[in-house]
Amino acid sequence: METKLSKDGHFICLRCHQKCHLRAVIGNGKIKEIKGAACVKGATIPDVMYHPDRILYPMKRIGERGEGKWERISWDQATSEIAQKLNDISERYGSHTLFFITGSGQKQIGWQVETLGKKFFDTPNTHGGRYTCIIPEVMADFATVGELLTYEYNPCYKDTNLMVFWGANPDVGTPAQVRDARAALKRGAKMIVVDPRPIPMAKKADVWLPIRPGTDAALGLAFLHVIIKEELYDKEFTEKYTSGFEKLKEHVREFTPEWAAPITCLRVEDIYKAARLLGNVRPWCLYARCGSVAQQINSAQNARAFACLLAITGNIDVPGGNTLYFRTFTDAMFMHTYPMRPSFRPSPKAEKGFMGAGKYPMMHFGHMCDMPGTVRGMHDGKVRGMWIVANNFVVAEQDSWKVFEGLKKVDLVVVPEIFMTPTAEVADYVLPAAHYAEIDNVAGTFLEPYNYATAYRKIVEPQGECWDDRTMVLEVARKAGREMLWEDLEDFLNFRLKYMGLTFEEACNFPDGKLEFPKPWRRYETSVPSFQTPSGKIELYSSVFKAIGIPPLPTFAENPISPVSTPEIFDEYPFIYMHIRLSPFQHTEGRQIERQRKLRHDPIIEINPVAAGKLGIKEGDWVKLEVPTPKFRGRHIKFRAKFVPEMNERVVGCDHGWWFPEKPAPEHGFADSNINAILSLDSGPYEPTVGNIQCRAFACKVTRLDEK
Amino acid sequence: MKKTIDERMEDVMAMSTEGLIYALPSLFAQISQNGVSRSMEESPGLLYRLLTKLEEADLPKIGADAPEIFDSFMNIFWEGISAKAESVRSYLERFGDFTVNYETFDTSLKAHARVSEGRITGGAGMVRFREQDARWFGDTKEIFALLRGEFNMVKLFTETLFFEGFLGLVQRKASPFNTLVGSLAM
Repeated sequence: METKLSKDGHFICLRCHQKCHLRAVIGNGKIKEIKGAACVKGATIPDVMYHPDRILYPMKRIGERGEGKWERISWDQATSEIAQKLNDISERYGSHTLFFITGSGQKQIGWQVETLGKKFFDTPNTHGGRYTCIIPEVMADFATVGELLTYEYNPCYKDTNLMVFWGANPDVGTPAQVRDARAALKRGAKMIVVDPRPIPMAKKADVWLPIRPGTDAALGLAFLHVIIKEELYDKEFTEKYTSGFEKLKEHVREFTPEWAAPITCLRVEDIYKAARLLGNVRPWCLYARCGSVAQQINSAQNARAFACLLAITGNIDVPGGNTLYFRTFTDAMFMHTYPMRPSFRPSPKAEKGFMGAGKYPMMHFGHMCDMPGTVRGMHDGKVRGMWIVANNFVVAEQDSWKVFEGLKKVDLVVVPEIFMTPTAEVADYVLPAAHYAEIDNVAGTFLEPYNYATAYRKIVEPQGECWDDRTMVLEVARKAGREMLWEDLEDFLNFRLKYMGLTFEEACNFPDGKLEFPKPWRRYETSVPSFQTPSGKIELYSSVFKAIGIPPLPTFAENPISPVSTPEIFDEYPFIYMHIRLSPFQHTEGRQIERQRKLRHDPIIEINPVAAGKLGIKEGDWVKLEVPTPKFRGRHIKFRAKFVPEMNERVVGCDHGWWFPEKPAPEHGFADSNINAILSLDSGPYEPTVGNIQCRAFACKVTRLDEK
Repeated sequence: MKKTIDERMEDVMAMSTEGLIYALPSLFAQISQNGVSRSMEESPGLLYRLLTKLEEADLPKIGADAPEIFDSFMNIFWEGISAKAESVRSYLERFGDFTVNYETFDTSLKAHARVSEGRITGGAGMVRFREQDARWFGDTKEIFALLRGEFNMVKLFTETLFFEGFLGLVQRKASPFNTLVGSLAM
C-alpha cells in the first residue's frame, strides 16, 4: 500500500523493550544481515521475516474453532467481513463488548493498534498485556511521583555510584543497557542485587540478598527504617519535595532489619549493610522488574516502597539516579507511544462499560481492563469481539485452558500474527502482520541518555500480502463506515508529531531519523508543580491510594500460599516457584527460530543440586512440577533440570512462555511447560490496583519424570 | 414590572430543581436579550453563581426534563468568559492555541471552548476530534466544578473525571486553562 522505503536501512528493533537502533544490510529487496544487534533476538530478524512458516495471506476459519481448516481470502473480503461483524456486535451488545488486546510482541505497535481500535470502535476495553508486568509499578509510581520510576528506562547507570537490581536480571532483560551497568562497575560503582537466583550480577555484587520470593516489601520497609532512623536520608530534598514523611517515619518505626530478617530469610547484618549503602552512597539508581514489582498480590506496594526509598535519598531526576523518562518527551510535546496510550478515550457511554469499572479505578485511568474479568467475560457473553495483536494470549495469560476455551466462545476473534500460535489457531480470522522492519514508525528508545526518539520508513516491502497492524484497523474502520479520525497511517504518524510542528516525513529526514530532546536534571526545581501528583510533591503517603481504599503507605503482605501463611502445604509442596526470563526469547516468541532455539531447546527448571539429589533428579532429567491448587490436581508441567549450586534449596526457577510450534495444532503444547496452564483466575486474592493473581512465589512440588 | 437580571438571580438561587427547570429558560432568554456582558455587570458573579447553583441541583433531572437548558447555559457561559477574557488578552496571546471539549455521563451536555489569537470563544456542542486538543468528561456536576476552576487530580484516578488528550498538554495547557476559566467565572 505504501511505497516509500528507508534510504539507509536504519530502524528500531521492537523485539524487546530496549529499542536498539539497528541497521539492515539489504540485497535483492531482502534483509541480508542486521548490524548493531545487542542480542540474538536482533540478529535473527531475517530468520523471522523469511521463515517458511510465516503467515503471508489473510485466512478465514472454515471449520470448527481449532480444527485447523482455513481458507485463504482477499484483504477486501477480510476487512469487509470483519467490519460488518464489529458493527453487528457493537449494535447488538454495545461497543464496550469489543476488546482490543495487545501483548509485548512488536513492541509499541500493539499499543498504537489499541489506540486506533479504541477510537474507531468506541470501546474502553483495551489491555496492554502488562497487568502481570509493568502495570502495578506504573500505578504505584504514578501515584507517588507522577510517572514511572523504576522501569528499565529510568536508572542512569552512566553517572551512578551504586546500582540496585531488585528482581531484575539486566543481563537478560536489558542486553543493551547492561553494557552501561558493566562500565559503571568497572569505574568502581557499587552494586546491590536482590534476587533469589544467583543471576550474573549477583556474583559481582557488594551485597547479594537472596531474598525469599514474595517478601520484597518487608525488605524495602526495613531499608526505609534504617535510613530514616539513622538519619541517612536527604533532609533538604525530603522536606522540600515530598509529602507525608512524618507518616512514613512513624509507619516504618517497627520494621527493623531484625523484624525483616526472618520474613525475608536474609541475615540481619546484610540488610543493615545494604540499607547503609543506600543511605550513604549518592547517587544510586534502581532497576526493578517482575521479580519484585509484578505478578504478586503485593506488587504495587513493593513498587511504592522502592519509590519512597529513591525519594527520601534524593535520587530522583538527578544524574546517576532514576530519571523521569516520560517527562522528557511530554515536555518536548512528543507523543511517545506509552503515555500516548491512555490519552485517548471513547465516548462517555462506552466508558461506562469498562471491564473492571468500580473495581480497579487506576486501571481505568490507564485503560487496562480487568483481565480475570475479561477471561470470565469470554465465557459468559460479556466479551463479544476480540482483536488480539502481538499477543500469544493463550500462552501469556494465566489459566491458559480457560483462555483457550473462552476464545472459542467469543463471537469474533481476529488475530493478526506473524506465525500461527495456539491463540491464532482458535481465531475466526488470522491476518498476516508486517514485521516491524516492514513498517513506518516513530519509536521512543530506551537507552541512555533517554532523550530521543527515532522515525523510520520501512526497510523492505512486507512479505507476501502482509499489512501493517495499524493499517488493518484503519481499513476495517473505513469499511465499517466509521468517521476516519485518521485517514491513513501517515496521517496518524503526523498526528503524533503535530505538537512538535513536524511531519513524519520531516522526522524521517533527520540524521538517522533521530529526534533529540532537551533533558535537564532536577526539573522539579523549576517546574510548577514539581511533580505531577495531586499535591505536586512526591507522595510518600499516597492520596490516590487512600482515595481508592488501598493502604496509602507501603505495606507488606504475606503471599496467600507461603511457608508462613500455609505451612501445612509445604510438607507436600516444599519448593517456592519463581519464573525466569530467557535471553534467547522474548516471552512467548521465537520458538520456531532455529538459531534462537539452539540456545534453549527445552524449557529449563533451575534447582539446587542438593535438593534435586534428594529427589533422585539428575541434571538434564525431565521433571514435573505441580501446584496445590485443587483445580489443577493431577496436572503437571514439565522442565529439564539444570543444577544451580548457589540456588536456595527451597526455590526453583522455571522458564516462562513456552509452547512448541512443532507440536500438534491447535494447542501446540501450550500447557506442557507453561506455568500459566496451572494457575487459576477463578479465585483471589487479587492484587488491589491491577487485579492480578499471585503468579510466582507460591508452593510447588517437583518430582522426577520418567520420560525421555 | 419586569424583574432585573440580578433580582431574578436572587430568586433562582433560592429555587429547587423543579423551579430551575421552570425558571432558567426564561432567565437565559432574558440574559441573551440583555446581552451577556451587560447582564454580568448588572449581576456580579453571575456565571459563578449559576454554576454553583446548578451544581447543587438534580442535574440528571434537568437533563431529562429540559436538556436545552444546558445548551443555553453553555452559550451564555462561554460568551461571558469570552467577554471577561478581553482583560487577559496578552496572557492568552502567549498561551497559544488550545481547543477543549466537554461532555458528560449523566446528561446530554456537550460544550467546547477555544483559545485562538488571544481570545476565548466557546459554546454548546463539541468540535470534531481532530480539532480538539483535549476533552474532559464526567458527571455534569464534575464538569461544572471544573469550569469553576476546581480541579483535584485524584479525580482522574477514581473514575470521577476523565481526560482525553496528550498528557504533555495537560501539564502545559489544560490545567492552566481550567484555572483561568475558573478565575474569569468569578
